[in-house]
Amino acid sequence: MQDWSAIETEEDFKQKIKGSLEAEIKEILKSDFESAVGMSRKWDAREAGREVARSTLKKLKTPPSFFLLFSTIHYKKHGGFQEFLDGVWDVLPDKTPLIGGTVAGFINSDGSYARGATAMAVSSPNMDAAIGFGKNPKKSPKKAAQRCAAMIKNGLKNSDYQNKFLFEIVSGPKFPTIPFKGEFRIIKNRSLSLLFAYLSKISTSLFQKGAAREAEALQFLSKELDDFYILGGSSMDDCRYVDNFQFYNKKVYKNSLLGLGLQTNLFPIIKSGSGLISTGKKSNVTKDRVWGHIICSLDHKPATDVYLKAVDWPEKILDERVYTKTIYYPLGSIINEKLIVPNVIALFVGKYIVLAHSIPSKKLCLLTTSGERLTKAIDDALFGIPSNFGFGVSCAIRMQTLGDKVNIVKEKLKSKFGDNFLVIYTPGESIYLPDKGICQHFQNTFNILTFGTSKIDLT
Amino acid sequence: MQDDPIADVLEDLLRLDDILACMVARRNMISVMPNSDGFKGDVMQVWDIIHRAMDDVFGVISQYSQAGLGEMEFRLQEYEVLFYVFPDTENALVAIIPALANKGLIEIEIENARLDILKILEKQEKARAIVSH
Repeated sequence: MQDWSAIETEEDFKQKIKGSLEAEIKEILKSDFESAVGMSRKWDAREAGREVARSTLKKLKTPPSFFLLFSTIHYKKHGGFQEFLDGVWDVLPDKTPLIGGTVAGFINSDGSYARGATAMAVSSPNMDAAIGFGKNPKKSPKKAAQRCAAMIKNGLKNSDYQNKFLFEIVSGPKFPTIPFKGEFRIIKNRSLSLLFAYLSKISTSLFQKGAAREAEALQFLSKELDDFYILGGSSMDDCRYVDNFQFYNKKVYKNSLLGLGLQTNLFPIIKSGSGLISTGKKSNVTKDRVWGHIICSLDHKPATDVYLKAVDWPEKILDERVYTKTIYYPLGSIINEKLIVPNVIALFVGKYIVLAHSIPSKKLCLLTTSGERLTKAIDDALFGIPSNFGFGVSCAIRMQTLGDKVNIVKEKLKSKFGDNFLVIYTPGESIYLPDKGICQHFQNTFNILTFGTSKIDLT
Repeated sequence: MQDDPIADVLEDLLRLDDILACMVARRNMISVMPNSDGFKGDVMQVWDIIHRAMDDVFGVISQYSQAGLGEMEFRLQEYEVLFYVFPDTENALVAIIPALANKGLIEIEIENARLDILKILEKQEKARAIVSH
């Protein structure tokens, strides 16, 4: 048991943490826990699949307990994702539990990438793994979550390990498209606002184009798997929100919710950071639609007008480039006066504001950030956790905002984890911490998972 | 014709949908173009004016690259032109993209291309040093 009573300064505290973590790592290494990350930058889908599997597995001494697979959207036009997945299975041992999907980008020790494929595999004799699948989460997040959870519970029913973790990936939001016109990013005509709202709901329910309903999926998953720690993200393309794909074993899907459940003797540790701060400006949602994805009015006034007033921008700023600015001024839902859940603006439709994810609260505030705050948040998230292995889910908005400066994040991760880390960039991040009562779908956050030999109090 | 590894890197970059043109250039000179026809879409229609603007920008780059100037960019009509400078030189990787493109993700890949080109140049420099000895 560590003696913390002698700590007098911040430096003492940091040294104590360092010593404690080094002891943790020694314990984990004794447990034969291995992790490996590989990648491919090939354009041909089949070759890329083979290379990402090969480059990952060659770093493991024993066959993998599970395989997480991610790629950017580019293989859609260069052979297709089934070819890509077939290439992976040309190399991967049969029956390895595999899930994954398309992401905006990723970071590993080789660099930061907005094109290519990557994978993480873990091997441990003290871990049981099972995968689950639920279809059509946009139509019915409840049914999809329940089916996925049932498969996970069934797959792990004979496990004796006490510590439980779920990684979930769900088909992300897709912009509705207008026939012959394509995608639209802004509608200025205010008379179309209500029509858009109705069409959005129909589009999502019938055609599965629209809101991803990840927050609802997480709520149902956490009810079914209430003693699992959950970290999740949504699949996406290159931030156009037109298409996205999920990988489950040997098949590719377009509208699914996937889960990888683990039971192990190691403790899952999930830590988060955002770098967003409140400006102090608040308002109340007085009308919303489409399961809380569209804010119609704030304080009984048109939502767009209230937002523009809060950020002090003229109405003429509402062109297609406005989203390069709104990423620095997201909205935040205030939960119980303590927790703020960020929510980035996806579209302005006349007087309505469309969000990629539903608002969990009617009390909103205006948030802000900067490049420096976004990168400092990484330090906060990495402090005090073991450095043997890191798997992160971070918001694609952060990658868009930082651009090539995202390499600063890569350097911080490499300094912490060496070669043993992978961070994927998705349009939203799901966290469930059963001991802390946190169950939220966030945006614009950075979240890292690692494993320890004991629970760490990170408060 | 021998394969130019820098042209291969540019070729890779050009395969991204939002990269309409890319090259390694300096003032009044385009050093390396991708292997295939280097321009997509309607960029050729405005190439003259973009090229003249590029030369003006290279004037600034040549003055300040030794002082650590890393990147420059400008927007002209419906295009953005991005310059990723090779340190302590007057050369840059230049990419032309649509003005409404998702710049954040594209920048990551342009920077990756610049790093790959720098590695190639370092290798060539080392090979030259060995030969001259």
